[in-house]
Amino acid sequence: MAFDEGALSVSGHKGRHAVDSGFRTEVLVIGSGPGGAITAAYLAEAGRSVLLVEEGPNLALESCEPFSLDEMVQKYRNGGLTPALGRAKVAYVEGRCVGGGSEINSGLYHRTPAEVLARWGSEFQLQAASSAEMEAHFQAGERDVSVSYLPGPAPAASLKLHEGAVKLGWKSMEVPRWFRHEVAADGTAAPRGVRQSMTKTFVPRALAAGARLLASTRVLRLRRDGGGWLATGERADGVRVEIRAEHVFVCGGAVQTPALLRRSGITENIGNSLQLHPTVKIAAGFGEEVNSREMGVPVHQVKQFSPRLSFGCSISSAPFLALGLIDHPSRVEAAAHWRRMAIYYAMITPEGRGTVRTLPGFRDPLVRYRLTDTDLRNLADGVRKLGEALLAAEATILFPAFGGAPVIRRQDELQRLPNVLPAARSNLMTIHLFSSCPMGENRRVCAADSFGRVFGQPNLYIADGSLLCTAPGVNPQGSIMAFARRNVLKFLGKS
Amino acid sequence: MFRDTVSALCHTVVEERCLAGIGSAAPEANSVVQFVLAQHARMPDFLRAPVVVLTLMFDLQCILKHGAPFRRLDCDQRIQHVRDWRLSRLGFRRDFVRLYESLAVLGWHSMKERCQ
Amino acid sequence: MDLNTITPTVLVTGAAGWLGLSLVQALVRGLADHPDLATPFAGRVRCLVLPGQDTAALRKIGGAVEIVEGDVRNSGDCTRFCSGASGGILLHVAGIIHPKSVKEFYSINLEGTKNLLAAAQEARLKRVVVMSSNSPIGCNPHRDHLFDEESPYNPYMGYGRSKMLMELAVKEAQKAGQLETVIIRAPWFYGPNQPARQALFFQMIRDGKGPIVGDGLNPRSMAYTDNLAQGILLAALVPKANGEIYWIADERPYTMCEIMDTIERLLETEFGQNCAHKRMRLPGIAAAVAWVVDKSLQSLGLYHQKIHVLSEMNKTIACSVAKAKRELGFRPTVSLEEGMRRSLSWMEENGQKL
Ligand SMILES: Cc1cc2nc3c(=O)[nH]c(=O)nc-3n(C[C@H](O)[C@H](O)[C@H](O)COP(=O)(O)OP(=O)(O)OC[C@H]3O[C@@H](n4cnc5c(N)ncnc54)[C@H](O)[C@@H]3O)c2cc1C
Repeated sequence: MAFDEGALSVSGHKGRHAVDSGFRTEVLVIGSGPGGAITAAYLAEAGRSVLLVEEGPNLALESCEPFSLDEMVQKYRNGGLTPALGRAKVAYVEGRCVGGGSEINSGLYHRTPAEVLARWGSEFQLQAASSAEMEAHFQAGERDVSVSYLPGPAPAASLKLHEGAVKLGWKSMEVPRWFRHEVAADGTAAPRGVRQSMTKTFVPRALAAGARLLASTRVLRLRRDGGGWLATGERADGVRVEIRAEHVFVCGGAVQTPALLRRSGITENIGNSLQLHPTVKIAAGFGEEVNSREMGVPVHQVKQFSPRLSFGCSISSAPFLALGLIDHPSRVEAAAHWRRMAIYYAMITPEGRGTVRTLPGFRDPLVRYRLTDTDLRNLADGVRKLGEALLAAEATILFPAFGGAPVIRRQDELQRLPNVLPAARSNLMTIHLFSSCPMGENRRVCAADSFGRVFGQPNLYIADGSLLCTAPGVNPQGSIMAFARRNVLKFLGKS
Repeated sequence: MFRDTVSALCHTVVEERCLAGIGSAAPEANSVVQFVLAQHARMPDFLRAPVVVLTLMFDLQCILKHGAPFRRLDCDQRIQHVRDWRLSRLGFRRDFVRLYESLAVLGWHSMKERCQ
Repeated sequence: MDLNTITPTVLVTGAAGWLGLSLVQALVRGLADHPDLATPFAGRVRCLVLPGQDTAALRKIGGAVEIVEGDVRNSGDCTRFCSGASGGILLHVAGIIHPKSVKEFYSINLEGTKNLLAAAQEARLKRVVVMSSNSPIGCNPHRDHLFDEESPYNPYMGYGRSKMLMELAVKEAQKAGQLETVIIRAPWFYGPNQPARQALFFQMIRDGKGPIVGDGLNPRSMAYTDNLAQGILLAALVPKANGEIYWIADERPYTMCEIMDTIERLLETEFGQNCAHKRMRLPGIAAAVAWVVDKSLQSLGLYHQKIHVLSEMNKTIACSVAKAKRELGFRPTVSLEEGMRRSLSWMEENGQKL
């Protein structure tokens, strides 16, 4: 059963200050991204009564072109204008729609690396999360969202980076994605397929098993209510909503989960250790066409310097290329040659930490993030090494995307790049956020136990990217999915 | 005044950064302005007012140098003023220009692609 | 497709006026500028003129022109004008720009239009094309800005407000669903059939008294009457125009200086006039003062043409005709120089003295 804004008519038409308090459920799941959707599906399939509440609208995956302006407006939080403030600002983006980030992302899948799991075990005293213990959860997730390799050739721009890295003897790989490929490849463009986002997989699964979905409804606060919880929220049309639940899973993502908990007075180790993968970009020009409208998602990543550095190719549509050239104002005309250009990124696993805080009187949380000097050095190193690989792939011109960056045409010109990325002109961005409420038994730093139970708050759980103890150094959704499954099965007493 | 300044600013960005090699006046600039204003309204709430204030500062600061607010300048003078802020030593000025430039450039190029 | 295939009757208000005459002419004789409008309209052309208005020029046009005397302020006149024209298309171009008092703005532009819309609905007309202007939208926020059809209302004083309310009334009628409507917004227009007072403007330029307020580089959209007639007739013709608004003007705006320089050049090189090659330069403050005075007068219900015109002299009022080009196939072939040349020739031929 799916409710949406208009369909809700518990007592007819509601005015602006109307209250809709008719909701009772055994389990309330807040947020329908990978963490929330998977939690809701397993709970519902186990016969629990589940209400899945999502702040954003309930839209089909196909409601807009992927990576378009429409998508930004429809499905991104704050239209994509969300900065993490600090000495170097990091622009981050999050999904805000049924399915969360899975509706707008690239679908690149990684398991959590074994050494990362080992570190989480030792530093955070995270129990029962060794590679071996996670294996079944990884496998289940891979099956459920059809993780697979491209059935045909990869986009040319993606191959370029791969080629360059291989020439230098660096480790580079094709990353599999959660995609179903139904149409055969046609040669020039990447084969088309359907991204197995949450609205294609776990959300319908949850609904089929009897979960109810309340979209366009934001939970504002949680309060203890007898043995359970009372959640108050607000629908997009202004109607207040009250929900009573025995158990609550908070799955709002790495920024909104700590914001909601802090607003509810739950603050211990909450929102103090946000991590992300800062990313710096290079727009590269080639002597031949590497880009087309049908380019699709690039799939190669260079992992030679992982976990410190990872390189890959970004979405490189003409509008994004124009944006990528913004630090080179005298080169506006370059954007006209977008077919010969593509955008590449260097991503670091940083030392830096951030915080999420609520501001009295404001809805949106303040996100701060502080990069260390080592991070800035690594970023600069990332730009240089990425440049090296691109030039090895016969790129003819490189436009690093930070303020005051030189234009580079030859290997020796790479020396002109700074050794430390200038913080105030760094122009960083990220699409990977986590670790704001780490899990584990180390009470000094953890917000929840090894299975996401919030310390000191009976029947309150976290199940999303916030739980990841540190930045995994790889695209995170695979990890979020595996831990969501592991933790909800624990809740259900099935493991 | 805020809207007018945003409009003048977006037109300037479109003129300087988007129209190179394209020629005649593209009235799509108005759609870019609408997009940018809509994005401003979507920003995190605690940033909206500071951005308005900064925009007005940007507009009025021109009076000292050019004798008229940014809105009233002709396009060449406006491009100059945007450059001054883009190259400013003050980080908030650079960020300010960058915010509007990113939005306008992304908006314009997306709309252009949609037209084709 | 041409008008002959969609309607037996075209009704024109303000037909004996400057724009009305050009419009009836374009209709009856065809407009060579546009392939869809080149064929003369062979059906009835019913014209509303004010009682006692000179209709000689209108009669001279020929064709099946019928003349009905009446005033749009009088709903009985409107009913009489529309009756028996079921399936017809009404081109409502009667309006007042320079009234004696502000009240006239409302009684003619707003009430008159409402009367006509009601009459048109009752008589089962097919479509009404209503002539509005730039004034409901005001002045552009900066010089290189062009208004488009999405630009918000920001009416310029009494006239602007009356036209805005008129547009809103048209949208209401459209919503009621029985009548197709199209709104045309045109800026300043120029061209043949002009009233004698327009000669004054040319004389001022010749005598070095052409007023330039500020630097004179503020752009103004203008519409040559045949371009405007083309836009109005296309709005009558094109099915998808129903319910839409279109800006109609020359291809691009001109600066005040360019307008005066062009006229001066034509006067001298083609019409044998000696020009003083001077302008009456006024500081921007003059317009500001005029603006304050105009506003105060209008708030008292008074209207002074010269002060009003002066207050607008240094403003940018420019629009984009992209939507009309895209959706109506509008092709503004005549531009400033050619349009002014034709205006001046017409003056010569019709004995208006420079
Ligand atoms: C452009 C982009 C590309 C990416 N590419 C990849 C990739 O290729 N591979 C990969 O592994 N990862 C990728 N990611 C990251 C990945 O999408 C996220 O890590 C993942 O979606 C996080 O899942 P989550 O469940 O923690 O939170 P989210 O997906 O952020 O979901 C949280 C949901 O909760 C809702 N919510 C928040 N607060 C409330 C509240 N108070 N009330 C109600 N609802 C609320 C939000 O609206 C949102 O829909 C990408 C992300 C982006 C933005």
